[in-house]
Amino acid sequence: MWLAISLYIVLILVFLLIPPLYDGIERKIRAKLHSRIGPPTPLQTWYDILKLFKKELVITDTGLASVLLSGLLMATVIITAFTLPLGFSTPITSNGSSLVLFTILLIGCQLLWVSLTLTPGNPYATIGVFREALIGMINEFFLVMGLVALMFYTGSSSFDGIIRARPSLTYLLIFALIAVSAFIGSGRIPYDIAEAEPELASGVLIEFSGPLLGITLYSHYLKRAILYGLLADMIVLPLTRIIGIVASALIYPVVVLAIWIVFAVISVMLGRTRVDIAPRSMLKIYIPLTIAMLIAWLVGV
Amino acid sequence: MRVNPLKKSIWVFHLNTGSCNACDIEILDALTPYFDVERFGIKLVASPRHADLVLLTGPITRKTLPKVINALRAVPRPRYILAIGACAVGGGIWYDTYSVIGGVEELKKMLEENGIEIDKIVYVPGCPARPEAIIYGVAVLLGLVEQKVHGEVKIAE
Repeated sequence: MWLAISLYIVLILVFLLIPPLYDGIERKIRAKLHSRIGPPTPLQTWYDILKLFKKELVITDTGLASVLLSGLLMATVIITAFTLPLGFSTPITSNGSSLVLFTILLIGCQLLWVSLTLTPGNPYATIGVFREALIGMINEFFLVMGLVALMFYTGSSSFDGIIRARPSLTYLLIFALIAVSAFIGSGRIPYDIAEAEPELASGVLIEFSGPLLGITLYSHYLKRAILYGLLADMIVLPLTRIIGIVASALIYPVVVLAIWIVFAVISVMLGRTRVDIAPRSMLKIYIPLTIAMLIAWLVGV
Repeated sequence: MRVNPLKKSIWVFHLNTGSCNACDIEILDALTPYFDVERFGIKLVASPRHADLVLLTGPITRKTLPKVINALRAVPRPRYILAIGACAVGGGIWYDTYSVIGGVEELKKMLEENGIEIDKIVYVPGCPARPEAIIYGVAVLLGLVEQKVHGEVKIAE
């Protein structure tokens, strides 16, 4: 029990600190793929965020709403991180409805993100928000469907159900559905169309400056880590029965990093999609995947 | 605030104030993977609100002046300007023509009148300024290399 609590405290602190570091590693890898050197160290994203916290805050007339919502977003994302098992079950995540709570908080993060980015009232940012909301509506639906399918498959609305999950084709297809949702939900190319046009570059964040931008960027990276952490849990949690909680806690950050890098490399290889094609292309992936998942489930493989 | 916090991370915003586009092409060149300015923590941003440094080109035409002032007001402090090319430095061949204000020195006075403070200006002359010179200018601004030119003027007998 004490071992689990001490491990959890260490891991949650690490988990809250590593998202910008993982982004720095991604930037180095992306630079390598472009035959460049890239940022001087993998800590570059941390340097960027820390610099933003030292800059002046320049806000629009509706800046107060932006400041309040950015604080709320950051708090919600951090609470969501607390409800995620970090490679092993904790008192919070072994709760009977922890997966339901996690799903609600994750959707809450997306809603807060859209609300926050609507606050500056800049027309370019607003166009970007509408695009993001369009993608979000389709993506969140299938993300929730994947999580509900996971609950039915494991027979539990708790993360502990995943520990008992047996490897099967259905589990693999549920993993694939959540993986695609996590990829799109983390705002990666080709689905970062909120920034698709030159005048929309920086898209929804165009009016944010200084600490406000720093908080928003950190929340974005942490939300990305949570989505990839969920995938890592689907890999690592069933292994805890074999390797024990210490080993699973140790390999968990490595698995999150591996997923982060795989998604980064995929997004480097793809081009940005068009706003009118994006929903159709998403449905072309999601609908066959959902049908395959249902068939596999009914067949029992 | 001193330059130090930006030493490892400096975000730049490209501001054309009516240049012939030669310096702008050199800026784009400096931002390509060939020169890889990300090595120095430099990143191009699309909004002045994200920027630390404004890459200013052109002699500042009277038509662009209000927009230039608005853009510079949107940059959070500490805000720096890199005046790129002969026109931005001192007006170039347009320095006394009717439609331009004649370089960044005149702009500085107008900004002061509008209550906008610029923490540091670095001059990168050239027509156009070369990409290496632009990167060197940023390095001078950040204190990575020592400035070779000083304020005192020595006149030969």
